[in-house]
Amino acid sequence: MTTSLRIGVLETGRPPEELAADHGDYPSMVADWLAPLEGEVTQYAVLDGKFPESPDDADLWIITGSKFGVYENHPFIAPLEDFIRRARDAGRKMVGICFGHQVMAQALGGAVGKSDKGWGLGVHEYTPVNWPDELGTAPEKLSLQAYHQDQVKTLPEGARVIASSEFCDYAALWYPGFGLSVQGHPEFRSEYASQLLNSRKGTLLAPDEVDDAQSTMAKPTTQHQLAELIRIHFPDL
Amino acid sequence: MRRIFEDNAYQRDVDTLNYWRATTPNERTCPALDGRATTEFAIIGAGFTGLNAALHLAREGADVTVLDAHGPGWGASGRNGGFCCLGGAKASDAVLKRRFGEAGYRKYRQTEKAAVDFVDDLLVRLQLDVDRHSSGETVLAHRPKDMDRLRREAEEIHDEYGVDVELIEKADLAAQGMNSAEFHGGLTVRKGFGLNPRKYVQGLAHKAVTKGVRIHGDSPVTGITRIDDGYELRSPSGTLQAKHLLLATNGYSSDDLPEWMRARYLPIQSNIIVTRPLTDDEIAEQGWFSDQMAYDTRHLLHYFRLMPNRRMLFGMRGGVNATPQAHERMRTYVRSEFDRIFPAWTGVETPYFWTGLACLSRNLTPYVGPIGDWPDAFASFAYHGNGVAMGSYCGMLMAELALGRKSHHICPDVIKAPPARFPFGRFRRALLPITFLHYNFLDRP
Repeated sequence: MTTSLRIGVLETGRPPEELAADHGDYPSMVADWLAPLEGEVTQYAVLDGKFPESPDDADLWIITGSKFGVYENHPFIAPLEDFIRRARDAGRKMVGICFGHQVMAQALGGAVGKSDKGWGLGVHEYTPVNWPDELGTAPEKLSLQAYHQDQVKTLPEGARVIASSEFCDYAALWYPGFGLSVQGHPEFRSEYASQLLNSRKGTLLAPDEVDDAQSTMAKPTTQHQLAELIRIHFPDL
Repeated sequence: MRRIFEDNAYQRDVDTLNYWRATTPNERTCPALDGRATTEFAIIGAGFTGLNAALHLAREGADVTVLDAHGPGWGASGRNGGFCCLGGAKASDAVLKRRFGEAGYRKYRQTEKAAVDFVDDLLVRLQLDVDRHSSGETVLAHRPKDMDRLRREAEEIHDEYGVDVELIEKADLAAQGMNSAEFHGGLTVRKGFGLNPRKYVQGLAHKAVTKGVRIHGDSPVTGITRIDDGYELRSPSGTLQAKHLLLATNGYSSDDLPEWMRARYLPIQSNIIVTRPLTDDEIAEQGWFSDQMAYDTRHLLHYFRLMPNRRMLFGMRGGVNATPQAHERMRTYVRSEFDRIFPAWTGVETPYFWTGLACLSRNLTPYVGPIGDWPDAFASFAYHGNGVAMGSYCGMLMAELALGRKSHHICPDVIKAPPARFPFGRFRRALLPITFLHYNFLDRP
């Protein structure tokens, strides 16, 4: 009679091919990050149109990062938004990461766009604000790998900002009773983040921006604390 | 050594407030390995797994030497809640059935039962007094819908394990001596019992030594090398050459001992508090007098039992860090959960608190089998917090494998499947020197 937590990972993007061999895909990074939850992870390649049959197929849904913009015209985005709303209505829980953070906001009535602040890269520190009682004691800070130029610009109704920085106003959102989303990447290890930056250096990313981001790689992140927070405080898991 | 948690997790006196450690004195000193030695079977780890393997081998007349970083039961075997019960895997029924078929699944469930019976028989055979109590185990529903699930599953459990089950409705909990507003009913599965794990592990060590097993404490293995006819194990005070190698380090493993272990296991912390003895009035006030060992349906698992000496033991998984400060914070948190579940006991002191490492695998199933392609080398680990029974049984199975003979003991495919690696390997926790790794990376040509 083993009932383990069912974690469904909605895969919305893939790591560069040359890095995937060493680091795995995003769902496996999520599985590693959330391993202390002792849950069973099922992944769904929603970017290929492979959606779960029902929001009830998992207790906790995770939406990964992606190179796509949520405002772009990709065939999987509208059904994903619909799935997010159905999961909320079904009383399931959800955690959104980067693109996942943005698509949750968009699905629930917020707006997302490119930031005029440009790329956020490397370890970013965010300050917890208005920390909800449901999530226990506020951590001193939230510190995560960042890799984005889009940001949530308008909050969906009912969403609460719980962490913020000068670079990113809406760095973490709390949807009471439903979920949590973060602009940073709690599933990234510094080695992957570092190699990802290098792989885009001089093409997508300016070399000096990459160098600046590389200099933050040694800073510890609070990725494991975030996993623990989800484990302990997520309602009804 | 490349271990996952901070050094504090592995130091000798990390658990001085361990109730078992404080109240069950060490009967035996195990001298460190001294100089060069040889043996037929070398076992690393003197816990339930390693000592059961040792005992089993010694009974067959084998020459056995056990090395432990500190001493018998220093790791999880001397720190757990003493739940000798069904369990060992964390994978769901559905996944086990998909991977191993209906028959494989059923065989695995029978193995869980066989593991409890194995310890039960062993205690009788070795005449060990381990403060046994509880008639099976009771799972308590923390939400009405979990009670619905227990109602649905009761018959299935009865069927799969062939054990008696009894549903307890919410209204009947108080009469059963399990009064807490937290719970919406429960299900008792009549298999398993509570015990003092340290008395059990010390009993195993004592018996093993009687049978001629050499146990060396303070002998952390820092290197394993293959040699012509077996293996050479190095510790700070000596080296041991052996024909056969048995690895029984579970949550206290190291990623390079040997390299095959890298990223195949994930230690997680579990934390326990123990109260002073409760008075009759206190017990009446809370309405909790049952001696059933119990756990709840929360994902954030709580486990607890009122011991024969009327101390309440209460445990909970969790904790990202293993520093003294982090442990202190965890102590406060565990206590607050205890207070919520047993509000009448908020004034009762809990002088004991300690933490130890349970062990997961990525497959969420235990493993007993070869260490990769190494000849005559075996490992057994990942009992997912249920090692009292499953760890003991798997240690015995590992010994059978090392003896190279067909076992009459039930050994399902579920536990023969080697654990997949966590893809990030030793990056799976960020506690290892990131700075160093980063520079390594930058220095690459």
